[in-house]
Amino acid sequence: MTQSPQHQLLTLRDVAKTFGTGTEALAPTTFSLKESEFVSLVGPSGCGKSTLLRIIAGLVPQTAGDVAVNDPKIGFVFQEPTLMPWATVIENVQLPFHLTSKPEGQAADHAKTVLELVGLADFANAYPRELSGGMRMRVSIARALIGEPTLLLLDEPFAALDEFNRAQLNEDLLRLWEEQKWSAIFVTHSIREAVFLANRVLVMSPRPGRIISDIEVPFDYPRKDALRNDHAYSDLCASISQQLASSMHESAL
Amino acid sequence: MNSAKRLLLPIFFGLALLGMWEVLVAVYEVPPYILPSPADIGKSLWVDGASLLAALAVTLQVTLAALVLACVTGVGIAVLLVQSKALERMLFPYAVFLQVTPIVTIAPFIIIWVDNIFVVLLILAWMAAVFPIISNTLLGLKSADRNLHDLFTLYGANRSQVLRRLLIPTALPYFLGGLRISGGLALIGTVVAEMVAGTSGESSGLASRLLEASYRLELARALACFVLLSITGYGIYAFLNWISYRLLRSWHESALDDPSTA
Repeated sequence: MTQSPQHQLLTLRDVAKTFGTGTEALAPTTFSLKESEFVSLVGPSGCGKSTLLRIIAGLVPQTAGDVAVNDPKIGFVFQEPTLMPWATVIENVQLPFHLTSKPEGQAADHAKTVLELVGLADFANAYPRELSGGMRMRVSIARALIGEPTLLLLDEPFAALDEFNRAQLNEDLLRLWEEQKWSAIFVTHSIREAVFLANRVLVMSPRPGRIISDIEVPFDYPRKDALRNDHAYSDLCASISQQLASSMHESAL
Repeated sequence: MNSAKRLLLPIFFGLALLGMWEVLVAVYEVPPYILPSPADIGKSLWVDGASLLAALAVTLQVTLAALVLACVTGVGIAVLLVQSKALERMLFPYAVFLQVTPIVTIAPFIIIWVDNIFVVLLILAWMAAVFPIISNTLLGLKSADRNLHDLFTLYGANRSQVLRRLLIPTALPYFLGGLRISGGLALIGTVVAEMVAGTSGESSGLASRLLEASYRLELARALACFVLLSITGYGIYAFLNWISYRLLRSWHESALDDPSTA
């Protein structure tokens, strides 16, 4: 595939991580991400998906290799909503602005806009404990979007939600992505979720993780719930599942 | 149970105990220098009320000053200790010494070294009160959500932003828990210090009055002092409990019910 270099938002070259204890968390990993591309990362527990995400965010240093990010404006969504319980919804959403010392008025306007985007405009002054799990996760997404990120990193954000909320949030996330066209790396355990969302699915091997396949997802956007019943969709999920299973089988031998 | 009932229950229990006491003292004709009746104590409270309240004001002044000082220094020390692991290892054992050493054993030295009796009492009460605030606040400062901390790092927060916007709000409920313990300890510290320092005369506190009255076998007045001190202690606790509730009620689990249950 030929891509002009200015369209690469993120390039990883042989990035690896070995913990101080000698545990190899991530085997040398190479991949790149284009602007406005939505990539899902699937793999078994403990394969280093989260570590990879934290390396890209600059939260932990890699022990080998290079990470090149073009204009890094990163938004991060954790597995837990990770809100400040003492702050209202809107104060939580404004946090990135407060930390980067943007003007107060601007912060309030932006916060209202992103809260509307995630459908929580009426809950601006509520406290996190007054919200359901799904709503808290929406606040977390709003907070990640407020700085108009070029790259959104999502670490199993919907893992703790029930099936219905999860499907709903998948569609909402795609709608936001189609409107705003940031790039995304979405880590998940769920192959069906990975395929539903992404342009590309990267499959990782068990620890120490490395990328064992890089699969284009051919379905057009906007993707609706009907896709989940599509045969081609199910077949693709099954084939990824197969690859994952055989890599786990190999590592078990 | 409604709130009126909740209030009445302990009051009835107390009245029943006092009634039994009154009756037993009368039936067995116990002399007032051994055990005065509740009525005698009530009379003493009425007759000596003004002078006892003045003494209470002295005690309360020391107690509150010590508590405020304990808050300021306790939080300051906790913030200092959380800056580095080495600093904490170096200094925390001494904070523990401060707590486990009975202040009665330190009092004689403080009395020799410091002239001003108010300052003597203040130092001793502070020593009794400061540790729970240090240790609780330190625990709170270290309890911040790891992912939130990462988020702050991601947005390039500096140390003071992390402290102000993350560590201090996280530590607030812990600090308030420590404060409630320290409120009682500050009063106990003041009372013990007054008794050891043996203050007397115009500016003496309620504990010295208690001691003085008991030396003269005026047990009704001594018990009147005791009653005032107990009520004061409860009052301090209730006040700190109320402050805690006000500060936390919008978000913290501990403040979801009304404060009168505590």
